[in-house]
Order: sequence, then C-alpha cells, then structure tokens
Amino acid sequence: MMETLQIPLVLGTVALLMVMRVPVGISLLLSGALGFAFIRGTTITLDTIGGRLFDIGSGYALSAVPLFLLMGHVAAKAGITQDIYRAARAWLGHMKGSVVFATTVAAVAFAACSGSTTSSTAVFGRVAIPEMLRLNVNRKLAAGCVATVGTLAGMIPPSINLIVYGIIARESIPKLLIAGIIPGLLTAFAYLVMIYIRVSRNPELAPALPKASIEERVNSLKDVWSFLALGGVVIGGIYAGIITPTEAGAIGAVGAFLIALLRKRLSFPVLREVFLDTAQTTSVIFIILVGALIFSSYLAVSGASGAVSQFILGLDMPMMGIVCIYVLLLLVLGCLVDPVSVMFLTVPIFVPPLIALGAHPIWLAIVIVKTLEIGLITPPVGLNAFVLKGVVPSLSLREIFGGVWWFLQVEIITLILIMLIPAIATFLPELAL
Amino acid sequence: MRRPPQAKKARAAQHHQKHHRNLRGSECSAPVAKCGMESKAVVLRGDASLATFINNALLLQRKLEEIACYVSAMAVATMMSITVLEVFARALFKISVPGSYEYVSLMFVYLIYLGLGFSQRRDAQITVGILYDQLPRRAKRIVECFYLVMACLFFAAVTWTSAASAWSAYVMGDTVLGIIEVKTWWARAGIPVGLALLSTRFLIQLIDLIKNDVLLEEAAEAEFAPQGRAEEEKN
Repeated sequence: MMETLQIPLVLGTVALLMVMRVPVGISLLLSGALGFAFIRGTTITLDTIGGRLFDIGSGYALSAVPLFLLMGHVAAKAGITQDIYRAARAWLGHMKGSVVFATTVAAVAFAACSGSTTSSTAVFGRVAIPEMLRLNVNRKLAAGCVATVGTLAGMIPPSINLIVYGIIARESIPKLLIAGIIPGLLTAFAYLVMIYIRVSRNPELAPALPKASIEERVNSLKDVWSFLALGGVVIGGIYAGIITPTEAGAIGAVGAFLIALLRKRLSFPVLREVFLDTAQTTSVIFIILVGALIFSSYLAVSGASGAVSQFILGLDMPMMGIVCIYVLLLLVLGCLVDPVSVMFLTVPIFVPPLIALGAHPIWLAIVIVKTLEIGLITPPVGLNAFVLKGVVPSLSLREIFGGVWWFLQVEIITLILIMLIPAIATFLPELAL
Repeated sequence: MRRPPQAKKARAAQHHQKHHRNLRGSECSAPVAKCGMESKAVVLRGDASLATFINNALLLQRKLEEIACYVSAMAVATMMSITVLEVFARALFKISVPGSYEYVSLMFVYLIYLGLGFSQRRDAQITVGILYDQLPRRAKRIVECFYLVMACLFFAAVTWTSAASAWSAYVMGDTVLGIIEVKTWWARAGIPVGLALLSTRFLIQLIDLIKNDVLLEEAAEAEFAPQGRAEEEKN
C-alpha cells in the first residue's frame, strides 16, 4: 500500500512545501530525503545525503557559474550598465522607438557580460526605468521592455541556465553557449521590430530624442568599448575552443576588475559588496541545484523517471508532438518555479527519449532554455516582473504585466521559429566546434 | 508569489516602520538589525546573565555567518586567480599549473554551503508561496513553525552525517587524483560548517517566531532596512 502511495506522497509533499513558501531548494531536498527514507530507511538516507553533498558540490564545469556571476556583478556595480545605456541612447535615441530601442540594444550588450536574467533585469530596472519615465515613455512599454530584455542574458552567452543544462544533460557546454548567440540576437531583433511597429503607430508611446552630435556619440563609446571587447574575448575564446567556459568566466571576471580599476570605479566597499553578492547568489542558486539533484535521484531510484521515459517512448506520436507537450509543461512550470529546478526535474525524464526519437540535442537545449526564459515573464507569477517591481516599487504589477504582454507575443513567435527552424540554434555550434 | 531577493531588499525600507509598529504597538526605536529576538534577548527579565549569554550567542552566530560568507567570497577570488594563472601558464609557457583543476573544483564546495546561513538570515532563498500568501497570520505562523522544525532537525542530522563523512575522508586520506594528489577533507569540512550555521539559524528563527511572533519575511525586512544595514556597517 505504502509503495503505491509513495511517489504521489513525495510529489504532493514537494508541491505543498513550495506553495507554503518553503524555499525551492529546501523543499526539494526535504521531499527527496523523505522519498529515499521510504526506500532505504532514515539512517541510510541521512548518511547517503551527508556523503553525496560533497560529490554534488565539487565540480569544475559548475565553477563557471560563480565566475560569470562575478563578472556580471563587477560590470553592474562599476556602473558599466549606465555607460552602455548612455552610449545606446546617444546612437539610437533619435530613432523611432527612442530610449526603448536603446534599452533593448544595451541589454544585448550587457548580456555579453552577465549570465543572470534576474541580475540583468534588476540593474536595467534601476538605470533605464527612471530615464524612460523622465522622457515620457509609456509606463507599460517601459516596464514591459525592462522586465523582458533581462531574459536575453539567459540566452546570449555566458548564460548560466545553458551551463546548468549542459551539466544535467551532459552536453558540451561550449557548444550550448555558442548555440545561444543567434536565438538571443533573433529575440532582440524581434523585440526591436515590435517596438518599431508599435511606436510608428502611436509615436506618443516613446517620444524620439533630439539627434546626438557625432562628438557626443563617439565620446559615449569611450566608456563601453573595453567591456564590449571583454565580452567579445570571452565569447570568442569559447567559440574558438581556446578556453573552457570556466576559464572564460575567470578571464571575464579579472578583465572586468581591471577595467573597473583603471576607470577608478572600484573602491573597497564596492569590492566587498561584489564578492559577497557573488557568494550569496551562488549559494542561493546552488542549494536549488543540490535539492533538485537529490530529488531527481529519488525519482530515478523509485522508478518514476524511467516509467515516464518509457511511457513517452511508447506514445504513438511524432517527436515534434512530444516536444510541444514538453514545451507546454515547461511554460506552466517555468512561471511557477525557477528554471534550474525545472530543468533538473524534467530534463532527465524528457530529454533522453526525445533524443532517441531523433531530436537534435543542441536544438532541444535551446528550446528548453528559451521556454523557461518565457516562463520568467509569464503572468501572473513571472519572476522577472517581481524583480522589477522590487527595484522600481512605483510600477504596479498590472503595468508590468500589461507591458510584458506585448513582448510575450514576440517571444512565442520567436520560440515557434526556433522550433520550426533548428538551424537557428545549431548553425553556429556546427560551424565552430 | 515568488519573492526574489531583489524584491525583498527594495521593499524592506518602506515596510520596516509599519511592521514594527504592528508588532510592538509603537514604532521601533532600537537599531533594526537587533529587532525581533535579537533585541528580546536583551530584555529578558529576571535573569540578566542568561540574557547576556543569549545575546552574545546571537551576536556570535551573526559574526560566524558573516565570516563564512567572507570565506566563500575569498574562495571565488582564489578560484578566479588560479584559473587565470592556469590560462596564462598554458598560453605563455605551455605548462599547466599542477592541481589547478582540482583546487578550483574543491573550493566550489565552500561557495555552495558556507553562504547558506547568511542567505537564510536575509530570507534570500527563492520561494514560491502562492498559497502561503493567502493565509491569515495565525496559519502562516503554524506553517512556518512546522517548516522551521523540520528544516532544523533535517539539517542538524545532515550536519552530523556530513561531518562524519569529512572526518572519514580525513582519516582515510581521501584524495582527488590529477597531476598531483589533492586531499579532499578541507573542502568536505566546509559542508558541516555551512550546514551547522544554517540549522542554528533555523533554530533562532523558530524561537523568534514562537516567542516574538516574527515571521521570516519580517525578520528579513528588518535585516535589509537602511537603519539595520547602517548599524551592521558600523559594527
């Protein structure tokens, strides 16, 4: 009796703990431990977890994550976001779409220095929203733009979600990172087209700025070229296969420090804050990873993962049909739970049978990560909207989600394009590595 | 709703005064970082020495959490330096720094576990809480009590087993094999330290909740409020 009820009980426990505001990582860890206790008994479970925490926590490939986080934190704290934003405004502010255009382009540039969606949204919320509101940009458009463009950091390398995916699915991390370039740029381009069309129809949404002088434009580049070059070196190094992602993260972080130091943007308190923020963010992300690993191990040991995989393989459906079902599941889960835990829970179950059915591993990875990024802005609980609300409390959630809706439609179209044309994801990695 | 750390941080300042008015009936004039249990320890009546002991123990816990976080920050700085050194040594002299791969992998353990107590104190973990948000305060209290008891017991038990695992690795001389052999016990030892700080933090939060009716998010708001941060900086 207990054996039959065991899996539903454990799944119910994890869901209940999460909706009761128990942190995601701890919910997964406690429920996974409960599940193992059913199978192996309490003492063995606790001993096993005590030993496994080390195996989970020590890994070279995972070390890329804190290093890229560090690089992003240095860029943000040293005021690089402001510089990038100022340059984008000087070059694009006079066009249709004005500062909203500039914000989108600046977010693409910043994404090359930062792999975290929420960090990117938070820094752009602080920098771009006050400026856009001062320039009478429509509040919904401003809020939607910033909440959405932050997700570009989750796709354009160095993307932390793609690194984590590579570890779960045992895919080549450099290939995955490179594969994110075209989908990321395509998404940004689609945003720009949507903004252009909307502003062309109603210019009051984003009044254009006077054209900046050539001198002003050239001067604006002085502060950003070095960081953009650093982003280029990091991505280029991985692309050429000269350095591993972990090495790229370390070089990026050291480079960011040096540039900030030369510009006199680093003080001791800033340095302290940057390192402490990185330490805190890493523990927050990785306790989820630890919990998710224990939980997914339980699912594997209990036979649940295998049963679902077999069920998928036995379905009389084409691969694309199953991918569509998986994408819908990810959209629902992605707007409720963070991407890392969703990947840990679903990738080991869905990805092997889909690859067995002929799905391209890199294409599948990009589709999964892209869908989870969409989940981050999907109402009513998209994480990015809450991050933006946190840094700009004057914006209401209604305004943020109202603005996000315009971008969400673009996101769905881009996702469908990536699903229908796998070369968008696979072209660069196949060409390069 | 999901509450990311940034959202919690920004809301803290504006909620602080309201929150403490609600809890105490009048505005809180004490330094914010010491609101909740950490100030109640001072006002325990009848036994001054016990109050002093509890107060000192709480301060020690705070300091240890911060030190652990600094060690974790130093670990990331070291990982960065070792990796860059490795890249330059390989590019310039065609040699590899012995043990660089192993040390970076092992040091990563510190980054995961040592910051846990500090993150829990700041309520920085990612939460969902869709149902919790709809509950009345009394029910929230019961739910949090249950969670804190379970988490405290679980992490205390895992502290013990991970310490046993680290000790066994030390006694057996467990190593990671690479160009050179690197002992693993020093990295393993970071796990029980981090988990011990986490389970103690759960215990403090549990007592705070039972004795002073301070929910986790309220304690974290006090932690983030400008006055509290200023106090922290001063210390």
